[in-house]
Amino acid sequence: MDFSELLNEYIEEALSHIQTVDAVLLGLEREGFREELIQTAMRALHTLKGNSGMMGFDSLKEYIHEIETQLKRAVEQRGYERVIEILSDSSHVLRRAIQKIQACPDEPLDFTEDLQRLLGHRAVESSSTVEMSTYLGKRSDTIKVEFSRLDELLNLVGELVIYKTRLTQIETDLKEKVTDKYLVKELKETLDVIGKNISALQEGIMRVRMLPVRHVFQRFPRMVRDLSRAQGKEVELRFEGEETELDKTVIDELGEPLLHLIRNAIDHGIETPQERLKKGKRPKARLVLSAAQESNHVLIRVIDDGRGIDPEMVRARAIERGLLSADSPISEEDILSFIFAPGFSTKEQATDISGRGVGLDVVSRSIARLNGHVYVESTPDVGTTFTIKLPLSLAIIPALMAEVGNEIYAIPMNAVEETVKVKDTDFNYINNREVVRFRERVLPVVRLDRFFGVKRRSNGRFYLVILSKAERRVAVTVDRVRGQQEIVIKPLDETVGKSIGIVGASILGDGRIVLIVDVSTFFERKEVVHG
Amino acid sequence: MSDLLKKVLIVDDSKLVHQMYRILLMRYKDCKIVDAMNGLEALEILSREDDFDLIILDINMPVMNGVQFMEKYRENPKLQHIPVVVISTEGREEDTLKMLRLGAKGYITKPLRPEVLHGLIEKLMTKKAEA
Amino acid sequence: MADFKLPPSGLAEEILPELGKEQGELQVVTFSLGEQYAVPIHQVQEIIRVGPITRVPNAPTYIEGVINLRGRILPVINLRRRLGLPERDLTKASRIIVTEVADKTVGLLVDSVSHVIKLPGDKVEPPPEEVLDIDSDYITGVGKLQDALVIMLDLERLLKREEEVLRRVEQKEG
Repeated sequence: MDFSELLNEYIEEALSHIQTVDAVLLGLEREGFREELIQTAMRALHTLKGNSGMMGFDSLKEYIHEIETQLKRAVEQRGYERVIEILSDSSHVLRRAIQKIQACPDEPLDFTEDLQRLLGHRAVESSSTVEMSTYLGKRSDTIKVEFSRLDELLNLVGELVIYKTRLTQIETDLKEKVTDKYLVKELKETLDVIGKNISALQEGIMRVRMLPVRHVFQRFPRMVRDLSRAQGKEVELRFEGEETELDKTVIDELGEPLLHLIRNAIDHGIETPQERLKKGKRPKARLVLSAAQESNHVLIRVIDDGRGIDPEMVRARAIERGLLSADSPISEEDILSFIFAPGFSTKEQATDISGRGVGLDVVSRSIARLNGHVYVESTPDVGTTFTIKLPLSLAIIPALMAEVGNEIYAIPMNAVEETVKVKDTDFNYINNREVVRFRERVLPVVRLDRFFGVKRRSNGRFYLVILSKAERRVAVTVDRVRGQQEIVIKPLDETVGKSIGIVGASILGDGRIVLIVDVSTFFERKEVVHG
Repeated sequence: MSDLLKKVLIVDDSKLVHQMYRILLMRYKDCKIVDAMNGLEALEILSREDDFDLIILDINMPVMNGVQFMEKYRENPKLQHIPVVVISTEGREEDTLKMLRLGAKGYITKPLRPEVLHGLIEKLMTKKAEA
Repeated sequence: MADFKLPPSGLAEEILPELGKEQGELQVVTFSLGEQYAVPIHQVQEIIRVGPITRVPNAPTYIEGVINLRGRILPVINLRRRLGLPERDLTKASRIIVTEVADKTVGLLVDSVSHVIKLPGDKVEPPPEEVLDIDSDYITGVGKLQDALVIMLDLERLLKREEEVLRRVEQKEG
């Protein structure tokens, strides 16, 4: 069927679809990543694809099809920088193609180069599939596996871990009831073997899901170059420890917070070459992205040798913003942590280039979502180091199971310093705030029963769970501590709203659901946290 | 049987597609064609005039997509006499089935071929005449 | 996404064997909250007895909690509270209707589940004017049975309203 009589309508509509893509790009730059914006662009592209096919522009149709495929993949991996890259590149290509069609509709279009550019990123992009090396004799062989399959496997292992715990409980109960000691002993031995195997299996799958941090580091050289050039600054970007491995889900989530930190370093930390020369520094600044593993954690650092952060300026601003009272006695170290407080940075601070005035509170929050935390050290005129501390894996974490009234809550172990038994009489009030004296420090107290609105079972003796975040400490009260357990984190549906203090849920061996405590909440409240 | 086809509602977010159906359908049968840019607009039109003989429905649309439209369609007994044809596309097979389960009478896949569209309309109109 | 291909065209009954008769009829699940209510059957995934529900602190009051449905964690809405009806204790007849709307699975806590019935299209009337304010546009109609009336709910709208309410609350807090 020939629709050539519709050519003008086609062109007009095509241009409006491309405009939609451009508008989405602008929106993404301005508002940060919103899935519905990306959906709008996808819809426009999809319609344009259909129309192009109908009009007989098959190569154009195929090109758009590939854009869609790449976009979908980027969105799935939350590779937001990549989304922008694809959209801005394809918008140019599409506009050019439509102009060509307008000029001479019968001339065939060629997208070979554009396709190569679009697909060329695949090498960098291989984080969509995880490379798994297996060694068969002397030959090395690699297979590609869809990440979702690994996810399923990890879920299964997660269930196994849960049931293993349950079996151990049953074994304990059986010991008291069954008189045949030999049988119980045999059960225990078998359970131990199963337990070891499950642990090995879990570790194996976790390892397969790991990717070198390089995958996320590699996204930044271009941005650093563009940003520093636009601001007349000279920056040498260096990677250290980029082969350090992290769970892919963590890698995926790491891009945005790192982007903000790097942008922050270039916008605010690094001086112009002239300024640097005056201070006796090399004109070319150094920006280091480093990664290192430390027991169960990975430390990722963004280090610059710029002007540093002036604690007095931070103090003044914190007071101005009402985050701190003027007479608060706070150490210089602690003062710096206020740059992560919500409401500390303002939109006015955003530079023309960075555009999206995202404060460091957003960084802090997104790292907290990964069960990690971020802190800062700085020396004026020497430089600033941001450190992100992350657990190796997101999906399964060790947690402290704590009873409050009739409810059980899981507290991620990475924040737990220790637990102690206390009496009501150990508590004091300072400025109407409940505090407790602990190892020569006075710590603010959060009563979990009150925080979550639970009725406590008894008065008198209970437990303190000491939580730490960088240099800060908070004491959380619970009724009983049931020990440590590996739990599989599952997100809570958004229907339940933003339940403050809860980060997710997990299912125990007996089918019961426990909620996982969002430890960072206790550190967000002003001043209280500075013990 | 094409005599039964007098008024058609086309629901698609592309004006070009509307034009195309106009060409496709007019060559087949001289009927009245009404355009809606999305599901919501279609529902508004249908609440004013329900004397359509056919609804041709795209899946992927802003504001209200095809599946959402079918959910509303299903709940409204007054619309049941108007058959719906889904314009399906690769990758939307699940949605197409969902829409058929919600009461759409048939579908055709993109890229459209006139004889396929005409064939399906013929079948639907025959069934309607029998009913 | 889909791992099958469709032929270039087809009629519903050729593709879906289960299709056939029930046209112009609405299949609904009716349940009691004092009054009789109904939701379209295609929005209902299953109906389960009330087991242990884990309370979610600091969640909206109409969220009864979360449940474990074969390894999935589902939110449960207390429908009485959600619709502003007086509270009532759980009984043996209490049920959770697991619904699936717009890719979301949510449980609804109700007093009891009555029947699955077929409601002919002409037995459904638009809701009376009095109930038609903005906050109750999730009532789509009133069905007439021999001896009673059933209030038809649009779950999608109900859940959407909820999101809006949540957003409003969060804005106030923020």
